[in-house]
Amino acid sequence: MEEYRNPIILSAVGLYMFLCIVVGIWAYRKTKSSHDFFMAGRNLGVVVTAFAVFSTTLSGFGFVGGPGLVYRMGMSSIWMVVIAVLGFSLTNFLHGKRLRLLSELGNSKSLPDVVFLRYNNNNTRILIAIAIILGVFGYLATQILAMSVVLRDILTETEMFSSMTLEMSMVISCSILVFYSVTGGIIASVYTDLVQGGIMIVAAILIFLTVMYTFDGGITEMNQVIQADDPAAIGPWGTLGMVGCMSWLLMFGLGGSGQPHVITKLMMNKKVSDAKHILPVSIMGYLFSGLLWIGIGLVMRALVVSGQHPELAAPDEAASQFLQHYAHPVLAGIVFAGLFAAIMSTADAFLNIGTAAIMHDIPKAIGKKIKNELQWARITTGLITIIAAFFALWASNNGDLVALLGAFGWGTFAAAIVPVVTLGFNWKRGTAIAANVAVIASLLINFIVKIGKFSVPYGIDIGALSMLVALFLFITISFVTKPDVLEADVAEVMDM
Amino acid sequence: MLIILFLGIIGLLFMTAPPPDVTGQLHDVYKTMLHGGTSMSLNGTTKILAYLFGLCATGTLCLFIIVGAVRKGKLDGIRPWLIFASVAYLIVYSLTYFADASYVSTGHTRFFLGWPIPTAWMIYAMWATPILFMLIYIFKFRDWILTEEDEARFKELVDARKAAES
Repeated sequence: MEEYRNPIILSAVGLYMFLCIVVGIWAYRKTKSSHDFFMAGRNLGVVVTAFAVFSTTLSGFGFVGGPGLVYRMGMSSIWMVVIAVLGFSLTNFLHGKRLRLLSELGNSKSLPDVVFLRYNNNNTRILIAIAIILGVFGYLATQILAMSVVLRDILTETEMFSSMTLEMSMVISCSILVFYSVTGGIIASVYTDLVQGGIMIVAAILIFLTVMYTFDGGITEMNQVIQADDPAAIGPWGTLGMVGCMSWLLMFGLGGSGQPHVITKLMMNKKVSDAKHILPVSIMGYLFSGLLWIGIGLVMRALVVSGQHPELAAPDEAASQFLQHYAHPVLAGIVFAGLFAAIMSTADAFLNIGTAAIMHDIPKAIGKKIKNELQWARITTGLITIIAAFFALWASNNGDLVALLGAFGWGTFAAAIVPVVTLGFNWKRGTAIAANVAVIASLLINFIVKIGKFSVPYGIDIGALSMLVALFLFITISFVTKPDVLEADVAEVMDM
Repeated sequence: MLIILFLGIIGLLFMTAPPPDVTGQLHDVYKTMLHGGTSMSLNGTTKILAYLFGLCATGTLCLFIIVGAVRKGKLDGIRPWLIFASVAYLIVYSLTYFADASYVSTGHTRFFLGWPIPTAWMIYAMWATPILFMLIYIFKFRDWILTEEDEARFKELVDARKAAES
């Protein structure tokens, strides 16, 4: 079986990509309008919405970066997984009802549409759209680069494709992504999320079972090995320390409710009351998938410090090294397909919200009406992918710009959107002026600190800090400015 | 107030002089790994500030859930449940924190279900306690989160807006 490892992995990835194409063709027939393209006709069932929520949240970072962080820092990054139950619950308490109701009331096609309905202010709509576009290009470029690197590495292991270049593997992977995103819009995106989420759960459970039996003494022996080398690494705060971990807890717990690619999914379910079923299903999906993050990172650290495996060249190799040396070839194939699934499910969500921001929100805010919005949405989706791919290629050869943008995408979204949407949609006293100041301040803090490479003491996450400052500004300025007059039905919905 | 308190604690933390290795240091042998540095719980001031920082972080999360549950300016039907779940979460956080402080100062190596005691608190209790919030959301959905009367009224509002737009 071992000699067929690479063909098996290639077949699993190829089969997964073929499934994406089939879903794209099917979704094309169901996409009749721009409302279908952006909002899936607000007609999604419980399981599809729940899988879309959790698989969009867990990007390629969860399959590559997550295990790498655990290998490097011990337990620290596991707080990003531990927060899942509280984080998803918080998102549902704050968005499951009011965001969904407001989006239906305004027949909205995007998050900035709902923001306009709530604040009745075009500047707020444009600022949120700009925050989304900035985050989208950074995140999307990172996902495209990750997808291309993984595909190239798989293909160059085979004789037939041994000379595969990064550019060529980018063309192949982006073609699949563009095909189903352009043809089927968000319908293709959420139904591929269903396939992708299923693959991710199966892969994660099988990997965790493999991890449990890597050491004869199971998890206890694995953790004792790590503890003997460094007690802090297997303590609850890992090597980062307590304050850094708690800032991650806040960033991923509260900040999760400010991720536009995730919360827009909660605008698409058919019935508002489905929210109570969506919550447990999405939590279960994320928890199972999180097992891979934890398991691979810890077992690779234990294998290295016990001398059973040579030190990795880079922390991000933790997953690929484990799959190559300790996983059955069929399991490795499933996990590689799961990795592509994780990357693509996040990338297609970003494509969708980025297209909506460029094609729908900004023209609407400046009073331009786009004729044949569906056709232009498809063209824009293709163009965004091409621009993001060139950006990723350029940046991969010219420093770490993509990594920089990708790294603070989550923080950028959280700091800009949590005050305005998460709090603002649940607090009528919040004003448009306060919302505008909060978005601008959050973007400036994030950019200045990251570009200036300032370090924050005790490892406090800069996204968490800028989110707190933006929340403080939003609340304070709202109290000192004259209350906005809301439309009567909007005010009544916010009271529900 | 909680946000101001939180920012105040961060300000106080910025005024202390953090040990250079408080966020970990390069491992002596393996250059791709970090090794734990000086724990904040070894210093009296940073021990308190770190605990309060975590309390503010967990408290903010619970507070936002409560904000999301407010309906018509009230919390009547759901208040005791949310207070119970929030208090449980804050207690579990405190137990995790103090278990780790003891782990650092005494070097205890007892394990519970595969993990050192403080990590077991993190994995089993901090992960699982928020299930209470999930259960509240599921079981109080029709009683409080979105009643059938609210849903019917919402349909009227949507129809009225559609009629006005057409």
